[in-house]
Amino acid sequence: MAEISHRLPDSDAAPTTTTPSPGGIWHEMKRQRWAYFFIAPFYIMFLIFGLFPIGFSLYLSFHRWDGLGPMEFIGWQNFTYLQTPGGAAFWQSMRNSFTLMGMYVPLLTLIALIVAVLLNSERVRGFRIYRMLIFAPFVTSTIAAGFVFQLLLGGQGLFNTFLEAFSLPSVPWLSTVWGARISLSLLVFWSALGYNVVIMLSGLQTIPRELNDAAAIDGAGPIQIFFLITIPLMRPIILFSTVFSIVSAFGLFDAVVALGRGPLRANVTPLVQIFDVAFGQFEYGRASAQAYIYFLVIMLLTMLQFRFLGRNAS
Amino acid sequence: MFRKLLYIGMILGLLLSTATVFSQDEDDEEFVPLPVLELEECPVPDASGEFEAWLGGELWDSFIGEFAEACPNLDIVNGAREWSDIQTQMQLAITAGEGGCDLCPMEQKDISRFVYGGGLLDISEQVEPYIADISPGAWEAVTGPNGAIYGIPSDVGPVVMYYRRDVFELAGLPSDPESVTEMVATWQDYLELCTTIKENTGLYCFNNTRANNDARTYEMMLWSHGLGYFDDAGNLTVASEENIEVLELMGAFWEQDLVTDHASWTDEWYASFSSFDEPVATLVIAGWMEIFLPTWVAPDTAGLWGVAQMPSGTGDNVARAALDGGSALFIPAHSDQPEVAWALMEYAVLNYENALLWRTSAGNFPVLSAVYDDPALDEPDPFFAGQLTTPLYLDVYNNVPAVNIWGPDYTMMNEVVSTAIQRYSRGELTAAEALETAQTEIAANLE
Repeated sequence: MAEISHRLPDSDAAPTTTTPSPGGIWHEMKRQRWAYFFIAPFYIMFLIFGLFPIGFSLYLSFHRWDGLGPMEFIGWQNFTYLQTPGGAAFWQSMRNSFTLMGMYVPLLTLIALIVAVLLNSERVRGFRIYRMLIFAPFVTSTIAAGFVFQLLLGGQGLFNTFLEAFSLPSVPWLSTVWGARISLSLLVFWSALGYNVVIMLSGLQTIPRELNDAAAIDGAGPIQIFFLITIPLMRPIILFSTVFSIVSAFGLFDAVVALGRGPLRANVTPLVQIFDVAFGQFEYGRASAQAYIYFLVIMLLTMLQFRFLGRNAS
Repeated sequence: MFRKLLYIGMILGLLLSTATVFSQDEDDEEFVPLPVLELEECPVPDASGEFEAWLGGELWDSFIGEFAEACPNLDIVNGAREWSDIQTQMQLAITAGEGGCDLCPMEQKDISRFVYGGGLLDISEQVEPYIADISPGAWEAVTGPNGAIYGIPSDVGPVVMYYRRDVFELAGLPSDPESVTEMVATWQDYLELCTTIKENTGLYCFNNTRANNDARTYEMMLWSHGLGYFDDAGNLTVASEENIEVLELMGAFWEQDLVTDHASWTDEWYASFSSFDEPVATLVIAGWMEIFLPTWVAPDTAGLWGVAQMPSGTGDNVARAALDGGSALFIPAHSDQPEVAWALMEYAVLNYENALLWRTSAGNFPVLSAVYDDPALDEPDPFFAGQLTTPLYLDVYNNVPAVNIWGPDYTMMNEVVSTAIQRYSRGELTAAEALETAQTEIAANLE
């Protein structure tokens, strides 16, 4: 260790406060040039594939451009267009996301919490295997899973074959508005449960066991412990999980593409809508404007959640 | 123990995927070129440098192989792309003024956007000698607003009506193609036929999903009525009185419960054609379906099918013909190899012998009308109970009316009209309300 420290004298000498060095920022950068050199690839990539598209899409949102001819500056028209009948599809995608969000996010959060509490219990043996099994869908390709779900939920799919085996009527999973939404929610629920369970589990493991033991000695039952100790202490984690799930609900893309946009475009989320406008209709200006509206809605939603749910989170 | 099993599983998986890769290589090595027309010399004598094409299939590989042999100084790179990728990648290439392919294919329904948007090479002069050899309807997609031609149709999808002879016989109806063609002269006749079949057999007439309707059947109906989404002056006709009537006519099939709710290209859709117990009686679709039916959709039903002309609309510009699918070839204006691209197009698509191969080897429908009279195509098709099908396709192809459906904004229009049809089919709106809503949305999108 001593040798390594010797080879990296700058790291020892690096200031631990934010006080500017006597030579100014350029001098400091020059001194740390190797560190900057090694982290540069990330920033260069971010600049090209992250920052530039963000800026360029803002620029595009004030232009009409189909990708072939010259760009035409049209001011706010791409935004005001959303107030015309042409914007109906975008607002429908927003409503779809709110509906989908309401359909699976509360259930997902609740079930994830319950599963995590069960897995965290000392009575559960083989905890790692269960955790792996529950987490596996999250790392499975959603596109592949979507096609499998399509086979399962098709008119003559396994689900309906199963129902018919018990003389029950088959369900038009993918050919009705609500059937398609339930199918998509099932797919997303299946896919996202593992991630949420792992997040909850990591939160649960930070709760000192003594608190539960003390409550139990004082006569609290498992349900009281869950509601009065676990949930209040898990509030920041639940908030994170909910925010993540809500943002994901608005950003559903591959699951929708794989399972289908649904009757009456019932499963089209803003992200799919923006993609369709950009790469189906080749209206890059309109797609960019919609992307910014989408961004504002997500930001607003997140702020609201932090305001109402996160008040006592810390 | 568990860990050992995991490792063994991983190793087996690795071996399996490696074996798959190698077996794929072996398949590639077995490629035998099809007997394409031999080139004695390179059609572009001084051709050299790199030439990129995005053309898939054995026949294209054979054409390009022959072309490469005749032009040794030319470095031809060929690789097929997905249709949607071609659109995106060519758009980027055209915007950048470089890259992409030198000879590119595109679906006919999508090419108008590029034809109107710019970036394609005007080949009006080169195609001039071939104008009369190709059906006028097929030129529509590659003709720009100024009348210039920016590509050539490479294959077409003439719409016909496939039908199950056994179902017709069960319903007590004649099942020979001539009688069926005569019996189903108009869409109204088709409605009556479907009613008879339902009454006599309890079977459905065809598949036409309500909730997932993609407007393709409606567009074929419009086409056979000589109607479209806009008129020659560019005015929207989505909600015209005639279009509303056509949609109402389509709605009559739903109202009388004559069609299934199976969406196209789904398992239940395939099963409806291969079934012996509950088949659908008919299928109005482009001729390329004759490749799929005997090979993987319904191979066990050989001898049970017949082909008849599609129903015709009623009105002034009607025909028992429409197009569905088909592709076109174009050369980007920035291509460094326009002469080579044109020579390859001409050799592969506009040459009689090679055009014939499109039909005999690939099963596609070539664009040169003369090919359809070739004796080589006079072979009765056992899958269609020995019916001679080619003259029927030629008849349809030569009578396709020029309509305004596949315009530069087709993708958007199709999407909006599909949703309108879905709402109408579910009883949320009348046909007039649905199409008027669609027209308003389309008009707003076009502003």
